[in-house]
Amino acid sequence: MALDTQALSALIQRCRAGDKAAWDEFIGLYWQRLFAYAYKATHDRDLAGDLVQETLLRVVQKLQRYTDEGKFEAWLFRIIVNLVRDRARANARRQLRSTVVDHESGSEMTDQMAGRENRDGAEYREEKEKLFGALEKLPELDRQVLLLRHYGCLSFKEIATIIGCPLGTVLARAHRALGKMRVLMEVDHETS
Amino acid sequence: MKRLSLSQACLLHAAGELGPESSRRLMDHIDTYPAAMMEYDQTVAHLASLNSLPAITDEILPLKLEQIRRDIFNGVIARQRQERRRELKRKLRPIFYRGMSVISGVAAALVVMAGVHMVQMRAAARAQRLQDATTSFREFAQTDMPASRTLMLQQMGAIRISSDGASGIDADSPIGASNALMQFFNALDHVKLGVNSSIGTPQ
Repeated sequence: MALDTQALSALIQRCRAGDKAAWDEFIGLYWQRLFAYAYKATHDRDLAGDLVQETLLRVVQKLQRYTDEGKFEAWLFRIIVNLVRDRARANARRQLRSTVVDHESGSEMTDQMAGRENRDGAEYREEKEKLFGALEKLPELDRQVLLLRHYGCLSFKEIATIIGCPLGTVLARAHRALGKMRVLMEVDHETS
Repeated sequence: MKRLSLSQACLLHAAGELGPESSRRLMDHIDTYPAAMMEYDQTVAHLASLNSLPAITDEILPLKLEQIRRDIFNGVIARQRQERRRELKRKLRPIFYRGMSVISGVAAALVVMAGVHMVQMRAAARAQRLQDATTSFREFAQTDMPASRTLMLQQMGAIRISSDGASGIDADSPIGASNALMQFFNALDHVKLGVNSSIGTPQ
């Protein structure tokens, strides 16, 4: 459900005043997409939750700086993309990502997919694991475009606004990334 | 709008983001060129594989998702409360410091005023004591009580400690009486010293 600018602005004003019902509504509107993106980008549920919190608070605090051009969601996602990037930089020294990715991309998928495995069989799980594996092997920026597209449910135009690139660059990056993913999946299929 | 390459146009079309006019032109192009058709099909397949990635609701159990949402909500509310408190403190701090400096200024002024007042009081009391002493001496000297004066002078004479103290006293004049009193007190001092020293060194 997308709110028009006026309704959204009123909702955020209520959030700023500390209205719990308004916060509930505001969180309900965006949390899932933000969380999905942050979770897939960081591979850490708790961290993703913290980043979503931080993003929503920043939006409420900095609403006055936002000049409405009908790009609220792009603004919202730009905040979380920057937070994820900052966190990744902070963690780079510890090489967290490289160690967590392999470990968690397998284990975190278990919740629902384990149940689904009974319905759709092991093939489903195997296919998804290959997809996730291929996604993880993509260069950071290419991967970011696909994550924003799939988990953020954003248009390529919005993604271009978020990462500050021309639309053509984003499309080229997405096209290249999708092709690479396909190739990686095929290579994986052949080796297995 | 900038011209797009075939692959870019295919991607936008497959994503449903290409305008109607551009879509029509793309379709015409695809229909004309089999290579373009292959490119289009490939792009659609690639995008479909991305779209086949499970959504977060498929990956995490609804109960856990609800828990995460609740955590986010509680975290946001707590953080906002915390920041409000911090903001309030930040706003109140200058007021508090200003108030404290006013209070300490007033306290310092009160202490100074009290000090000045005490000094003045002491000075006045000292002056008053001097005045009282002078007056009482004068009154004593002017009082017409020859018997008591004579008696006192006789007593003074009887003490006979200092020959200087008793000489040249005119008991009838007020100045003479004062002098006599002074000499009497001096004599008493001598007596006291004598007593103390006698106690200190028994014979």
